[in-house]
Amino acid sequence: MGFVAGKGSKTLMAVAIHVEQLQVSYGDYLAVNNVDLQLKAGEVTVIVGPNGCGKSTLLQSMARLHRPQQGRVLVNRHDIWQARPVQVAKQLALLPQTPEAPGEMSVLTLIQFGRHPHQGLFRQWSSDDEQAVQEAMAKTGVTDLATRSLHALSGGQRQRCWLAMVLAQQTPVVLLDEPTSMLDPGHQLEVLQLVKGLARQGKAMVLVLHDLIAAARFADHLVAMRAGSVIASGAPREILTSELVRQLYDIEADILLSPDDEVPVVVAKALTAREVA
Amino acid sequence: MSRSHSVATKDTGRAGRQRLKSTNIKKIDCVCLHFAQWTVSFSKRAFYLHLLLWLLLLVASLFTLMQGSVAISFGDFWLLCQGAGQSAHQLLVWDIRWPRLLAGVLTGVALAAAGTLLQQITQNRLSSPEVLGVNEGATFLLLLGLLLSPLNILGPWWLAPLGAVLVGIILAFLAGGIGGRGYQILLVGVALAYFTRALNDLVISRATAQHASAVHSWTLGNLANSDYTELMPASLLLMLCLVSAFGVAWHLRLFMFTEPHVQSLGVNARQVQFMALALALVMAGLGVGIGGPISFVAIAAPILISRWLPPHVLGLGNSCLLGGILVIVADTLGRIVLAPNEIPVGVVTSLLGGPFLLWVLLQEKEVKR
Repeated sequence: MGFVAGKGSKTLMAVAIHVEQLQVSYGDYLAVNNVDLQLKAGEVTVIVGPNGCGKSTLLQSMARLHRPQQGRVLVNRHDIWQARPVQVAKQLALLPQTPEAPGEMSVLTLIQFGRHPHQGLFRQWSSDDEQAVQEAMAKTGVTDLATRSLHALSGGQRQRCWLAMVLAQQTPVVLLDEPTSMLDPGHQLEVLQLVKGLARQGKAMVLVLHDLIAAARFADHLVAMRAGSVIASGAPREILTSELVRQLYDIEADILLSPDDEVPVVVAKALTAREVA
Repeated sequence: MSRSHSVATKDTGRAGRQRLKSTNIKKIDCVCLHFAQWTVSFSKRAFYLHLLLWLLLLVASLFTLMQGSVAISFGDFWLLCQGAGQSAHQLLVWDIRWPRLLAGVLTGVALAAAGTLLQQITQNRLSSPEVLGVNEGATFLLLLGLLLSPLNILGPWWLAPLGAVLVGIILAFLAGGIGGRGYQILLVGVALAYFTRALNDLVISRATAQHASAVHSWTLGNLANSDYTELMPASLLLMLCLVSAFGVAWHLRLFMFTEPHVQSLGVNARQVQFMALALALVMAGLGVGIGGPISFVAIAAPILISRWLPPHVLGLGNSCLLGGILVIVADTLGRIVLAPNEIPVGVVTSLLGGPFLLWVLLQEKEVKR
């Protein structure tokens, strides 16, 4: 009996985020329309879609940044709007699209700010904080950069530092809004591999990406959005078709399979005829 | 929220601890003070600067108490401290200079605190209670008190914070909310400040000629008529605001990040912004109520302090101390230089502070280029 109960709770724990009939709007504009999603711990979920399709809004709604008109977001079965912001921040960390910080700030200082939800006015620094910061720096490989200023870093290094800050928050769910958009292919790969590794350690990693090839390669769960709605959701191999790419971006594309591991590769050819006309 | 979850987080933390053995990275450049389960940490530079500023405040206070149209020697001052000395000196130091000193420090602290909060909310070095018209609003109510009172005296001190808060409400109303990083408020505030300043001038021009000059000199800041009956309630309220401000500052320090980022760190950014703004308004008003709208302190103290601290440190405490020091030094110089005539404290702060601030900012530019 105990075993069954244990097993049951384990499968429930595996679903890190439930998004239920979520509807978010800015004034009259409906940015996210009736979205249902289940995102699992241990998986990389990648949200793709054209500009303005509501993917960033969806990500931010999951992080309690926009109050939905309808529906709810459950993190580990708790509605995030029934919890205080600091409690949500212990479950769920968000790296916004274009994070900003003073350039003179040191890497270590930046990463220490990731501990804010765990700290208080009279609990400003603990051994847990120190542990988390060190661990985050080790995982992202920025330990050697600790005393450098942010403006003295390359784009790739800086992005790793931001990731370290997010990891220092020690949340089971991590949301990253276009974490690779400013990086060259090598550094993109570095960040995505790191993300994959973190997922394998049991975190639920949720990313917004523009690069379909990277999305297909690194996503366990691909979510395709257009005009505020999810039009396809599942393993990249199963859902990524020429038809889906046309629906998403109005482009004609071939889907090839990578020779080594049969991961789909999207090759864009041309805009869909009606779009050109 | 979930209890089960907090346990789960702890577990991963413990597992991590076993994995990672080296703990050689301390919170660098920080002074951590521990007491039981409580820990407070300061940036090392902020900590030492704080000690230095306390020392400076002490020196400046002694200077203020001893110097003036009648200078008191160290020996005489020492006697005074023991309760002895000439009765004329006793009267001068304890009944005239001491309340004036207190009023100066309180005004400086209040204005500097307000300036620090406003600059951090808007992430703009130019925002301060005088730029936003908050000081002018506080002044306006006091002047209105003067105009309406049959005795031709300024309104009571508490009219000033009331005026400041009123300006804040009008600002928020005109700007249609506080807006991200208070940007809207900054724009509307600059415009409103001109209007309120004109209203003040109008009130002054309505006063009788003899009064007008006295009132005008008060609008440049005046600590001369400070007495305990006003100082006590005002300083109590200021202390209350300051304590709250230090609480808010813990979250407010994150405002160097973008708003989504602040939120994702578990902080209700809008709520923090609102509270910081409210505190800034009340404190600016208190500053005006105690010592008049002394210019320059609110904008300069935080800028000077941030020049000496790492970029992520808010430096509220340091700014407050520096604000107090600036005001009492300026006031004392104003008493000495043209003695027995006095230069209004606000004129001295601007005269000396303006070029100094300019020098600091130009230096900063050189370092960066």
